[in-house]
Amino acid sequence: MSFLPFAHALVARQDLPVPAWLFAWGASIVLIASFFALAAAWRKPRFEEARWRPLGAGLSRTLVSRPVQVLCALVGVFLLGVAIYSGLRGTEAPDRNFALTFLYVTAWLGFPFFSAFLGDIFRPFNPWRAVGRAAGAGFRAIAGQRPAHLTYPEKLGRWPAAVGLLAMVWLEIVYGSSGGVAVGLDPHAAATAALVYSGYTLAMMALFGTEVWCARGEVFSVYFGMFSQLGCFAVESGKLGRRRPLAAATHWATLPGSAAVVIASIATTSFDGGQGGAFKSAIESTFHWFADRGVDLTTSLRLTDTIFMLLCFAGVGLVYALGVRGMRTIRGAPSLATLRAGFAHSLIPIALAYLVAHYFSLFVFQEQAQFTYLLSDPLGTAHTDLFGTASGGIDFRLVSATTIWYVQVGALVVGHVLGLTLAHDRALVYWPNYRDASRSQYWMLAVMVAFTCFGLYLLSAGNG
Amino acid sequence: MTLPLAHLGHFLWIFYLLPVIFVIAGILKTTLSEKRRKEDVSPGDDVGEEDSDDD
Repeated sequence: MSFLPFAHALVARQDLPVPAWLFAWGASIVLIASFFALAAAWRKPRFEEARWRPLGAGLSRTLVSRPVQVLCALVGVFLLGVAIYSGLRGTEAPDRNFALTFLYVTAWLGFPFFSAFLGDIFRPFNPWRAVGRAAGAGFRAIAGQRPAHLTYPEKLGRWPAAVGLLAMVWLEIVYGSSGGVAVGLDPHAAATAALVYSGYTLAMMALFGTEVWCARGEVFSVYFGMFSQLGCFAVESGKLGRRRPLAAATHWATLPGSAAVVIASIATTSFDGGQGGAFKSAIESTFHWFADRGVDLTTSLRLTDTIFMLLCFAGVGLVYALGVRGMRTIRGAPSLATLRAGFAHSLIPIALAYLVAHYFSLFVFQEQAQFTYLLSDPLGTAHTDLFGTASGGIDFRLVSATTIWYVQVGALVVGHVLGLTLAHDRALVYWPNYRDASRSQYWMLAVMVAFTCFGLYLLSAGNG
Repeated sequence: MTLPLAHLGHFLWIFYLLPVIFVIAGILKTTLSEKRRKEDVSPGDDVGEEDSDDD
């Protein structure tokens, strides 16, 4: 997201009472204390059942009713259409065009942030699902039968979504802004990518069925749906209800490739955070290595960033794999594959924590633009003022650099404590003896401390 | 003599790595001492005795 021109607000120095690295020590102590508290007091699994309870019938009937669903679907399709049109026909200035901020800030960050509390709010607004369902209904009305679909290869699981997530972020932070030098992604490219993705998604929905593809391969459904598992509202059997927060996550990673999705989320955020700070000199050295061998500059930048993004993916995956490997040494441990899938959901709060830590300020600042001048002048032509807010701007004093830092630290600590709690709860399922369960979590504690310190290091290096 | 403090910032990452090293060292120490304790128990003893207070 470094193509948006508000880096100056993000690099402001904080006024901290102690060195930034001491926060990593403090966070580690909080995690260790949480680990021992869980080991002492949490002796039965509590998250295996979501305990869904219906909300008031009137509210549920209204929110899940067909007219509301159709309205939400139309809003989703309309907004995607506006974004694509703005990208294709609007100004090439990224900060003045509705497309980039809407696609990469409002939707890409807003849905995870709100889904984590409210549940799967993207589903009713999903424009591709809406078109897929409408096409299916049209087919039924004309042909008098349900459309025939291919059987989805279950071994693929969520791997298409994991690869799609990497590709989506690659487009944004590698193709669009390699090594901090803007080389590619403009609103036109973003709109073209959205069109290509729409075509691909609708084709896959036609092949495998709308709901099947949304649950496994549609990047946004899978990605936002992953965070929604932490939320406390869900629709079941056509009724809206409340469930225990975090509990739904325990059954999310049952499909192959789910761990890859959450690892991709953490890795891409890490890469974006480290690109301009922690990894900067290594990226520059690799870039020069390619450039010195005659590779043209743009290709060198993109090649280097691609390598580092994949290294981040491999690194995060390796840390998680080591934690799982450590658990395997405890007597009575299930197979490695079971452990790998069984604990993947404990990384979801960490993925959310990384998102909040890295993009909270971006979201706060850029949403001011979204709801002022970008809303009134989506094409950025300076000739339109639909809602009278075209002259609005971003108030960078809304949150100070110190406040941002405390939100970042708070998000990382809370996210990792929640991850530790989910992992401990799952361990009690595999090891009914709570002592063995606690022992198995030694290595997950190390994983959580490593992710916390790494996250804080990325932030401090990026802000420094 | 001037100390090369100008480049101290390049080594700040060590401070972020130390908690991870401490935790891993603690885990290794605990795991090894548990293993040693188990080996010290004679073959006739019930190894799972310590777990009898499961609830």
